[in-house]
Amino acid sequence: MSEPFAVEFDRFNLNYDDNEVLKNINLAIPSGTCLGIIGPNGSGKTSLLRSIAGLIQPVSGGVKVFGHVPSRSWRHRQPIGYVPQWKSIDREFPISVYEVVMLGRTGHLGFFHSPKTEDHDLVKRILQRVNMLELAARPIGQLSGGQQQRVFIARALAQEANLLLFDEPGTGLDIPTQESIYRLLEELHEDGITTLTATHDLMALEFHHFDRILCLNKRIIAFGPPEEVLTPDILAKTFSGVPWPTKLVGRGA
Amino acid sequence: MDFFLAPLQFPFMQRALLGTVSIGILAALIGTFVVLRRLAFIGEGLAHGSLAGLALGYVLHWDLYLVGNIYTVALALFIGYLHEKSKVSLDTAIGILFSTSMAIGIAIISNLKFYTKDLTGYLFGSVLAITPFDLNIILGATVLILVILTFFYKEFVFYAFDPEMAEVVGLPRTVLHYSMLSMIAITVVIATQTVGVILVTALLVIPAASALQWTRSLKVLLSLSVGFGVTSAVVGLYLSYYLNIASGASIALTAAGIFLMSFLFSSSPINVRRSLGFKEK
Repeated sequence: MSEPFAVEFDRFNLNYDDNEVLKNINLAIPSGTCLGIIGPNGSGKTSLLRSIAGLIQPVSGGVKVFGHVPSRSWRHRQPIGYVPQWKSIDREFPISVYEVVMLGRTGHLGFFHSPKTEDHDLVKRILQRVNMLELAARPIGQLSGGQQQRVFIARALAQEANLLLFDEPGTGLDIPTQESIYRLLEELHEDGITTLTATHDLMALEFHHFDRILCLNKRIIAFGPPEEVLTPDILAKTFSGVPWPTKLVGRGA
Repeated sequence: MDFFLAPLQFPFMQRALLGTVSIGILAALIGTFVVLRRLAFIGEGLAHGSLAGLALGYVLHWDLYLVGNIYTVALALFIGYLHEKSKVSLDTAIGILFSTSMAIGIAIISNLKFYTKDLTGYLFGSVLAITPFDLNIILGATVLILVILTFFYKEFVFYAFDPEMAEVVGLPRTVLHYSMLSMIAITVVIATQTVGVILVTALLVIPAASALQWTRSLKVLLSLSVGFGVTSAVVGLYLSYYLNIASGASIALTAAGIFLMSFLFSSSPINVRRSLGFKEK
């Protein structure tokens, strides 16, 4: 992907009913960036990611991914990997780990085609990478939260996307699982893949070095390298109205 | 052997057998998606709402089931549209539109001299009255839906499991959603011929629910569901013939019997033990 920017927001405004969710977002994220998006709950992190994934439309302004408007037919050809916030999935649904990851190949396969040998090989390699190969035949409903999260990450990897969006990938998971997820993020970064990771948990910054940080609270508070952005002032502004981080930061983080 | 073959010397019985088997397959396949997407209420709603379509067909002296099909597909699409465009849940949209549609049906019927025999057939199923034309519609619809499901299997599975991610990957979620609603509508109207409006849900939901007691693999689930659907249809048809009871009732009761057996004897004896009040050790 020779485009200089993976994601560009241009005077982007998003409302839900009459509530402003994102205000005047102007942002250009260079290709290959490993971006951390921080902000309190309700700051619009998920909406920002969902806008990039093409799931919600702005009231005004626009977003481009690798220089293109991410329409549905475009996503079919140029995948955007999206790992949504961990939610309780339909545990009853009769589908195995392997089959879920293979769903990620749907866009590449196109209509009327079933998976070929190379698709099967790729899915096995990815399952190996997220350490889920032994559980490939397991129904998805019989997995723990951390295992499920790894399967959904594997599905995003199976899309072979150059842009991956992670929404709170570590939330609700134990520390070793969180560490393994952030290790994977690092590997993806080394592969040159652009990753956007949203989190309200500042501890994530301990686990992982993001090369850019976006502080979001309905509008952009700050965007830049961590050493410039992670200052008590900016964090206080980002988390204004949320009591504990302000205090924590105030004590001299 | 004579027990099985004797009834088949009558052409109406041949048509009935072919029709019920075909409907059994179709309802079980679509029913599996209905159960997995938790759309049981839409099956019920569309069946009741189809009354207006059939009444309309009756007034216009056109084929009841052909008009019924077209009408009910339109109703299904409208339910989907109302749910999408207004702030009502899918259940509420179904509730509003199926009762309205049924009211229109009742209004038309009460204004006409509708033969009670036709109405009974519609309500309780009249599998022995399937005409050659009806049979063509049944077979045509079954083949059409089988072809669609085969060609777009992976897309429908993705949509059923995780509609939002299906959209991210670039699948036309809305098209898949409305196609599924249309296929449910056609299945429901076709199935009213064997089980009647009131018992359509039985044929749509029970085979898939029974199969779900046995497996967590989608392909096995679909096959088992079809097996149970066909068994219910055939056994129910013979029971209807020999015991002289409405085919809808005998088919639904056979399906219910299969569900009971599945529930009791499937691989999760712990659940049964628990439901019988035994403590786990």
